[in-house]
Amino acid sequence: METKHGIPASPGIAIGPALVLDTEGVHIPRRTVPADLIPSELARLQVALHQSTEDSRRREQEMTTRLGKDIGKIFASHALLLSDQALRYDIEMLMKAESYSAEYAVSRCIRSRVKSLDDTGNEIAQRIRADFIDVEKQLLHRLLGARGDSLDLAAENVIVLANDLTPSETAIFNTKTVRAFATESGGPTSHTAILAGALNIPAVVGLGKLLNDVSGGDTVIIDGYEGLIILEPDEATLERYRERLREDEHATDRYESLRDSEAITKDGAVVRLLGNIEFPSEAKACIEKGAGGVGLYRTEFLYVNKTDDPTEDEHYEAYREVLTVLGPNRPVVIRTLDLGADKFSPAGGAPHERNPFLGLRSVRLCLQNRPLFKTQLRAILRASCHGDLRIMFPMVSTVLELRQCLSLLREVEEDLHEAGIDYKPNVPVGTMIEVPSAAIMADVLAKQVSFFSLGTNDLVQYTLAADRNNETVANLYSPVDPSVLRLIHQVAQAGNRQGIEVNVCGEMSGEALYTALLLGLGIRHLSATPRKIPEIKHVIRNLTIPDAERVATDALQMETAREVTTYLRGQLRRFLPDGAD
Amino acid sequence: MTGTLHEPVRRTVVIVNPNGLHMRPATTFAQLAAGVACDITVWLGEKRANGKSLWDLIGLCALRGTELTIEADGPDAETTIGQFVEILASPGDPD
Repeated sequence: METKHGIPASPGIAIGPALVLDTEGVHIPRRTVPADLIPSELARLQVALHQSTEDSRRREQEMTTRLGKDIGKIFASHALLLSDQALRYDIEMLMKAESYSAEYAVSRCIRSRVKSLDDTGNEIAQRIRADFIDVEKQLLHRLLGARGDSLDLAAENVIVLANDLTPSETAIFNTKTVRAFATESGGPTSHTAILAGALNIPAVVGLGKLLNDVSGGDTVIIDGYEGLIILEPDEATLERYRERLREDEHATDRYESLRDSEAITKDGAVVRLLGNIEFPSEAKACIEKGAGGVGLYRTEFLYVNKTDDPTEDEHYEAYREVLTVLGPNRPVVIRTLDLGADKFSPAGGAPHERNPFLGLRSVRLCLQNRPLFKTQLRAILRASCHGDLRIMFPMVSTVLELRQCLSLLREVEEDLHEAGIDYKPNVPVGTMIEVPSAAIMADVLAKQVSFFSLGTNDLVQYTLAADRNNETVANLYSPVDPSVLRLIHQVAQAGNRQGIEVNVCGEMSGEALYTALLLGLGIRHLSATPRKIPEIKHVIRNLTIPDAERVATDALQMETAREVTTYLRGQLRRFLPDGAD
Repeated sequence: MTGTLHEPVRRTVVIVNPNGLHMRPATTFAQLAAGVACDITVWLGEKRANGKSLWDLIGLCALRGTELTIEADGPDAETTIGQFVEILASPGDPD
């Protein structure tokens, strides 16, 4: 049994077989298996050899057709090696004699032959070497589970382990087959983590080197509360975690009973609790969890993994679907495209940027691609007839940018009006506050919009100049760093003075630890991943506004993020003696 | 082994391919050997390789100038051994 510590990205417990993606290096840990498992290891080897042989044969045919017989022959050699009885015998002997796992025996066997080739000193050994390493890799990928086709072929209920996951990979995820995931790199607010939250599955990120120690099919435990992965758990540990799983289900039921209760403090202040969603299919979850609406509808899914830009009708349908589910009385805030040029549709051919987070992204990209932006705005306005729709612009960093967005929106309105197409006039328009410049200029921006939404993930990243995905500087990244608290406070004050709504839609709003602080800073709108809503509601119902204001006043006096965090933990225990989760 | 009626046939060749017995000729050799009824063994001194196994053949690490003995044992030994000699004795890569 081995326990590794990472960053908790999405809470919950999961127990299940590992599916390992991306075994970049071919280093395999020295791993033996209990003698009684050798027969099943031998069977795994046989399957892997058979599958890899088939792969190579297929490749031989493809390559012969495409590039000629000479290239095809390389793969014929691989197929021959992979189906070679002598190789299989050698590997099996190692497994039986030394109790090696299939992976380790494969690696040992092939590596030792490579070494003897190297020892000849012949330069051609290099070329043979490459073929052998290739064959080793193919086998290891088959044994450990390979990236790519493995995700959609995934057996039921796997736990996905990877170095990192790209949005396109996570897009294939299906909560029916993926029960949890853990990655070597990444921070708590990486795309991966956000997606885990949206999918409502446990996730741990930033675990460091991990993949070499796990084989596909091994039982692993993911503890998304503590940020742990447990490899080869013993029976006592398994039982403890099974018990916690049962407790979790029970706790969910407890908060679930709050579904129809109001989000109201003990002294009667009403808080608007909204849900963040990524896909139209999540709209239902918002209602099930008792959200008062959708505070953030991300629209990036319409653009990623597409060869062409989405059509106006594709946009429209995606928006209409959510509005219809939410009905006329629950607001739906649609955020316009918030992608970096680097992640943009492959057809775009985006220029290389040395610093994409300070580059052409989000609303900047939209303002430079007006046809694309207008298509989305037209669809949003058309959809406005179906419910309480609001528009929100992301990553606005100057007043001028906001003005440009607003004037473009007016242009689109006029176009629709002239064409006689239905839309709701005076749809509320808001801006995200996630760049420090916008937070500093909040008093000016407040005069131009009907609401603010604090995107704390980016605000923290840009304020502290710390990449949230870089584990070496992740310690700088804290939503309660005093610098960030001052900005949030300032934005809340600016909004409240102007009489506009101020919402917080970052990860922060879904953390019970920060609820009192945010209310105390003057926030009355929180938008979180739907799963978190019952718990946040529970916290709100145990607070009074004077309590919250005292917490905020105290926190604003503090000098370090650590002090604030420690203080908030103490306060949470005070408000919720029975624990928040 | 059906060597009761047939004595094994042996031929000795010297590798002249500058790359030695590398992937390509060894692949051709093993593919061909897999298709014949008799057993094919390749000897490098005391080291022996099953001629039907690419893994074994490569394991010989036979460089240019190495002397190898091919042994064919089976009913068609006499008629088939020639093509194996040809592969190993070829100065270039076979098709």
